[in-house]
Amino acid sequence: MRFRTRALLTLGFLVLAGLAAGAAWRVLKLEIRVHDLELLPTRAEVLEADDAVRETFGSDERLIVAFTSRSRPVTDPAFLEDLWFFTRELGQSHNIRMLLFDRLTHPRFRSEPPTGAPWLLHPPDGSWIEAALRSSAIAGKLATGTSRRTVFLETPALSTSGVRSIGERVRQAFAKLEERAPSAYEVRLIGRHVVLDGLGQALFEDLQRLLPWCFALIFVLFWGIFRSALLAGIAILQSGLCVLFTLAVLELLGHPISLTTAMIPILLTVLGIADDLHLYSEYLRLKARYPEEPPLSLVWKGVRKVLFPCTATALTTAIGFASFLPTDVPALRVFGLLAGIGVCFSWLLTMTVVPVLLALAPVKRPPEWTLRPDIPALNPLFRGVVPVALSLALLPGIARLRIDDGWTRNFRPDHLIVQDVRWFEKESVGVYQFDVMLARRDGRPWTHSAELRALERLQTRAEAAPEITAGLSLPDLVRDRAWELGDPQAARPPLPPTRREVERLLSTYRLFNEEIFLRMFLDRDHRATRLIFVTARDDYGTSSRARQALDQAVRETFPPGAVEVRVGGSAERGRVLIQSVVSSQGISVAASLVLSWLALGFASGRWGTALRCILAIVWALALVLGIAGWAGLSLGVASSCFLALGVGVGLDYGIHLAFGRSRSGEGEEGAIFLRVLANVLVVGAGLSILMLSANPTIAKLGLLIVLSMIASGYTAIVVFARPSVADQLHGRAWKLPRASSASVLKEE
Amino acid sequence: MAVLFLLAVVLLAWQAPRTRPLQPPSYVSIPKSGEQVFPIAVPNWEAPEIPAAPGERRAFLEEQAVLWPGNLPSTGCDLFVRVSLHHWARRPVDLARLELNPEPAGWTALRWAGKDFLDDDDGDGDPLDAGELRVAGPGAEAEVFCPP
Repeated sequence: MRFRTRALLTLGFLVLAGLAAGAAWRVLKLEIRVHDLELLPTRAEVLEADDAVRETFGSDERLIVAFTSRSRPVTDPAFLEDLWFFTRELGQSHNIRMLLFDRLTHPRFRSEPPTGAPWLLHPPDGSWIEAALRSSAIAGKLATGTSRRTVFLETPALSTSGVRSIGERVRQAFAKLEERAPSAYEVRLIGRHVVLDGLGQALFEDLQRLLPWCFALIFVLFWGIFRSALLAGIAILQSGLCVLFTLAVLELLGHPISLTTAMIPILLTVLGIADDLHLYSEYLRLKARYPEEPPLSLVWKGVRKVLFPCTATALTTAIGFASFLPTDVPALRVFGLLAGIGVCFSWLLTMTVVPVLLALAPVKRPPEWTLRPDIPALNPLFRGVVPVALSLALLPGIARLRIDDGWTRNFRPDHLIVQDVRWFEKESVGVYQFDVMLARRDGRPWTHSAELRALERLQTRAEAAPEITAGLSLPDLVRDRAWELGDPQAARPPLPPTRREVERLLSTYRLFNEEIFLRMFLDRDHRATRLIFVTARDDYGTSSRARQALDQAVRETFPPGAVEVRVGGSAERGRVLIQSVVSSQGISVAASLVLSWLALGFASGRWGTALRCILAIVWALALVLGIAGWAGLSLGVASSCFLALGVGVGLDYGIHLAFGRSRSGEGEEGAIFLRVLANVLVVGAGLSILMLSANPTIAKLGLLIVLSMIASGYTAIVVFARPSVADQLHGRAWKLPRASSASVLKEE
Repeated sequence: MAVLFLLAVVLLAWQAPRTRPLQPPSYVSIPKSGEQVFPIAVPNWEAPEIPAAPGERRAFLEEQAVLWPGNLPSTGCDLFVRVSLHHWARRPVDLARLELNPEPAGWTALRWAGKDFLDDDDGDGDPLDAGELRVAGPGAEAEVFCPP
């Protein structure tokens, strides 16, 4: 090697090392954050409704501290003493002290104050609490669990770090309580923020666990295929650099690792080595044929040989990912952008760094299959009856496909967060809510008794739906306060007959320092009101049915056009985001198929062949959707990503088979065929690592991807195996004849 | 193919800065000053230490008081009714209408019975009626501060 070449290579490696160090420094600063807003279209109606609700009634994201006695009811004096001890311990934290709210045992109005306590509100005793649970809607629905052994304390959830800090303070206060009353109580922290924060942590742990396994598997597979630890190491280095640079760009652009971007490292690790596989085998084939040629010259010949198919596959994969960019879902846009950038990094590394390393690597003995590309004997049914039978059997399964998802499905079933949420679903009315904001078009205030009665009718109708576990509205506040100011042993009074009485009762919320709770249901001008409806579960089916019931109740209660209705809240966001993510995936898949066809057709001039590539992948994905339908695998936020990945990656096999052959490449067909098989094996096995994810939806995605890799490899072979190959697939093993040196040299 | 690939790279590079990170909505609190004091609602914490000197006492009560709802006309004198261990309700008060004589120091300690808080004897929409603030007896602490 000449001095100039050596100097250039050294300089190049130094630059690469510097870039890698800079990227690693960036990656160390990456944050992990999961937020449901990232998965919603930015112009979604639900977000506008949420904004309106927030601006009108204030933020009410809550964190619930569930305080449970193992044996005593909430009315037991010993329970109340311990609860007050616990809340006082919590109150050691200034923020919690200022914001913690206990709906059950906080002091209430007594017209006759106890001796030495000359004020209006006093701590309630057990009998008052018993009456409140019986007669007050808000205490009855929100303050305690159905077992009557749990009290729910509430605090605003301002931020992720705030939620973590509250969690820590709750653990400290509980430790103090344990010293006072060992094993008498349990404490749980519940809330959407807890789930999302826990999901972020789980994603990171998953990534830390799966990524090394993925690298190890790729190494073993490459070692097995090429019989060289050095070549396997180069592939791992290429993948590692690709992931590193891509994550650095992620951080540089200010994005966190989220539910969608968490998949990128594994995807790029696997996708990055697919082109290496083709380059390696071509290089080794040439090296075996021209052992006298310098490695650097041979490797560049190999690069030129695989340049078109590898560029085409990188382009179509990038198109597959970039097709998420036109969608309006931020998380999908970021995923598409970063995965697309990662594919470009991978291509760049495969075409520049990998060839140099390959030329420098001493390869003593190339594996036999690169020298003698034997295609194993396959059953003749492979291209005839089997595809037809498979299609007939599987495709009807598409009709059985359903959309379903939920945040808690992203945890393994025995995860503490899932257990707490499941417990809460049984013990409480639920944590996922619909905010129904109503504004009368005629401008009448909601404090008129007729309007209040209409709200009460609406609430009763909506609560009749089995999916809605509870509803709260302005009439509840009015009637609860009327009861509280009267005889505690009396039944809950009906709505007052006059607006003056209603407004007198509502004014006590300010006086009792509870303005914030009144403003959650009524704006300052009394023109807009909110009803809160709660569902116990966050899955798509429950939310969809609850929303239908709400729409129906509004239609039955108000004449058309009488009120302006907006629906927001966490349950509605969950419903919309699952629907929008799945439909966005459908749109982006269609767009990427069209764009890939145009790109392939335009670049190759072989529009018919390009169309066959597209049809092969459509067929493959349809088969997988059919399997998913028959197997009862529902599509959700993460699992529906397999479609885009299937297009981006699965299309590669058809491209290599269709465009990888040169016109006179004698013997190439078998080599390409085997490379595609190896590609299916490596990518499928690599992505199967996702099936080991602790996140069940990612594991499901892994299964669907592996199925789509197998299906796309199969359909590509069925569509593109030439008759000459196909004939030889019919029964007997065959060997491709070695190409003459002359013909190969001429071609190259 | 190379040109198309280059185009894809350019497209991704162009879109990268346009794909901005999500900014979660900030916390919105609706109650205005005087409508809500902290701690929120009425917790069971220990009683606060209330200064004895009228000036400091008034300043302390102002910090711990919600404003009485409605547009009551200013009269120069303020009434602070103790609603809970921790907070008060503040309102202007017309001493003549309530048949009260303030102390010369400008601070008068009174009581307001709970049952009187619930009624509106004269039907004017204001539960505070003439004769309901008493110098002694059961009820919530009520303190009137007037300019000396």
